[in-house]
Amino acid sequence: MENNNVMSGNASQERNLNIRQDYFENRQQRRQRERAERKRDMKRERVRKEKIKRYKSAVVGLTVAVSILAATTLGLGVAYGITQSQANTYGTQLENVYQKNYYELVDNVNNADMEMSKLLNATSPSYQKKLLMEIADASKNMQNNISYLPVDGENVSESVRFVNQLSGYMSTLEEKVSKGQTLSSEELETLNKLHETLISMKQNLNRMSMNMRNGYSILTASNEMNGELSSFSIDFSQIKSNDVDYPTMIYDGPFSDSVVNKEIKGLSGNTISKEDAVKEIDEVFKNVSNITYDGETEGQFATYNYYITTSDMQKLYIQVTKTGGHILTVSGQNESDVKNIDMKAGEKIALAFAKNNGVENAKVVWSEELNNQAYFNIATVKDGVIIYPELVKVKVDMEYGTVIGYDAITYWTNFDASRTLKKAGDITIKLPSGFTLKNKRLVLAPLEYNREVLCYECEGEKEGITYYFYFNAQTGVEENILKVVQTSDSSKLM
Amino acid sequence: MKKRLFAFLSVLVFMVAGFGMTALAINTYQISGVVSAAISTSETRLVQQRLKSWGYYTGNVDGIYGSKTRSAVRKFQQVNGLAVDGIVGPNTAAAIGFTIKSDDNSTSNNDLYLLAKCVYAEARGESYVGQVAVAAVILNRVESEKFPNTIAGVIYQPYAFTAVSDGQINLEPDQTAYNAARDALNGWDPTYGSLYYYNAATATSSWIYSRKTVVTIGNHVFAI
Repeated sequence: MENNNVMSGNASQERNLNIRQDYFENRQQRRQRERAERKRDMKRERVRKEKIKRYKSAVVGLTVAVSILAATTLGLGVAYGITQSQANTYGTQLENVYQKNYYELVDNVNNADMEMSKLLNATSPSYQKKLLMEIADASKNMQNNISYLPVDGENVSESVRFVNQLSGYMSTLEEKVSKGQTLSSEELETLNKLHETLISMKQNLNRMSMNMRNGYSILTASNEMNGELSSFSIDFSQIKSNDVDYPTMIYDGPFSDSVVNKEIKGLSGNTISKEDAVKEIDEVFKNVSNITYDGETEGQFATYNYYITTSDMQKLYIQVTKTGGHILTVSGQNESDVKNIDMKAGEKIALAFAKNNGVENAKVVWSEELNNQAYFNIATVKDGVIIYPELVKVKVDMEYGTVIGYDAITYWTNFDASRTLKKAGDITIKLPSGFTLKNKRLVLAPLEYNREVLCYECEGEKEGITYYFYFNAQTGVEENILKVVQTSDSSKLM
Repeated sequence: MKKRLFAFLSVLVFMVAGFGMTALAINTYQISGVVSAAISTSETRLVQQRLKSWGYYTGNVDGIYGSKTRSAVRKFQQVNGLAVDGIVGPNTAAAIGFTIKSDDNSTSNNDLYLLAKCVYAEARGESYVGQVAVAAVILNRVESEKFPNTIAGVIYQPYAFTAVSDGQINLEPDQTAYNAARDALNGWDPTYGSLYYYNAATATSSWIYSRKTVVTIGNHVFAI
């Protein structure tokens, strides 16, 4: 029993131990479990907190981004608003300039129409002269007004042509009346046609004025494209003037009909081939290292065109006439700072070049040095008279002493070997008081209306300023005065 | 997430910066070239020479008051405590060592300047003769009764020149443009009186093709 007891006592001890072990084990496990759970909870909590944190930062980021976007949008909006309001202001200013010129144009057309009706009925020369001057002024102003309006070139050129011709014709008639001549029946006929044109212009402008009263905006119409043209260009082209035939003598500009159809007197000889043109270039420019054909020129002067490179590496563009095979133009420039030759040497080179190209008996009539380039105008001399219509221009490179520019268009247009000159009359020339006569020579001067007049060219100086006076060598009448104007970088005649 | 936000913000910043730069660029484009010197070519040459020998200027002594000269003048003004405007006025001239001539007999050569500006704006990519030709067309227009009667009138005629309409006219011309303009003013005309020119590759007006062609130089077809 005791044993049993002992035994049982041992067993119970063991059991107790086991229980305690179990207990401890359980406790450990529990603790571990609890720890694991706590860990898990903490992790969860951490993840939750992180999530919240991330969420918060996202919200903050998004808020910042949205605020920046809002601020930018606001900024851009304000900037756009300012730009837009500035654009509106500029637009209004531009519209005002357009409207001012439009309404002035209407006024000027109305005035010209009014004065023209009076002119057609005026008989006294002094009143005719006054009216002619007023119409000339009005048409000059019309030209100015039209040039402000936003019309495409081709739609405005006919109107500009009409008003320019009107003012030119009025000035010519005014000059005539001033000389005591009366208006011919042909001239009155032309005036009648001009009047009709002015009336039709006036009516068309009136139609446009009605639109203006209903809020027509020139600026808006000029921005509305209707095919290739703006609405305003189309509307304005309705004002177009009728064609009027003018006597051809009234224009002296190079584009007057008489000049466009002007016969080229100087060019003669056989028609040459491209190969001949290359040969000609090689002969004149002895230092050609490369030559490229660059097409032809059509029209008055038919030419073969070439680019050449010289052994001095100058690049020149050369035109050779098909008729006669003359070098007509050379275009090039010198950009170097080096200068090896002076004007005197340059003059020799220029004269030799001109002579080489068929310009005989010539002398330098004007020269100038600019940026290491020497410019010479060379005219032929006949019986001691300088023939200004037969003029070539030569430009010499002052580094290499070669010709880099040449223009003989005027020369070949006017050259006439059989030209006969009148004899100078026995006239006395008197310069205005205060002038010292520096030089006097006989010249054939090209004047207005394609006239060539034998003149005494007198160089006079007063207070250090040079003038050129041109006196008709037969009548002694003063034909022209040129003043030498010192510009900021060169001198020129005006 | 952060990366995306950063990218987004960068794009925003670039957009804003880009907008600002464009506005600035437009402004400089309009302003550049408008400010010009009040001195003559020979005086400009003198300024360039002196500023070159003093190390302010590195360009050519060409008498053209371009951007290099202007920035050299600015540097000089900064160093010498003058008002920094890049313009040679009486004070700057005195500091450089000359007095500006106020000669009443001298005419400022605006025609040459305007013509050179228009040539540079319209034809700076063309050969020398191509530039003379463009200058000649402008002068032929002045002579023609179909166009305004002054150089300024022709150049600024509405829609006449694209480079005038878009503001390129305000770029400072180079020596080639000046040389070409001067030759044309002296009466050189490789186009024989042409009144129009167009780029055959880009011209959109069908009307222009109806004009009689005189000559093609570089990219330009010249016509009457």
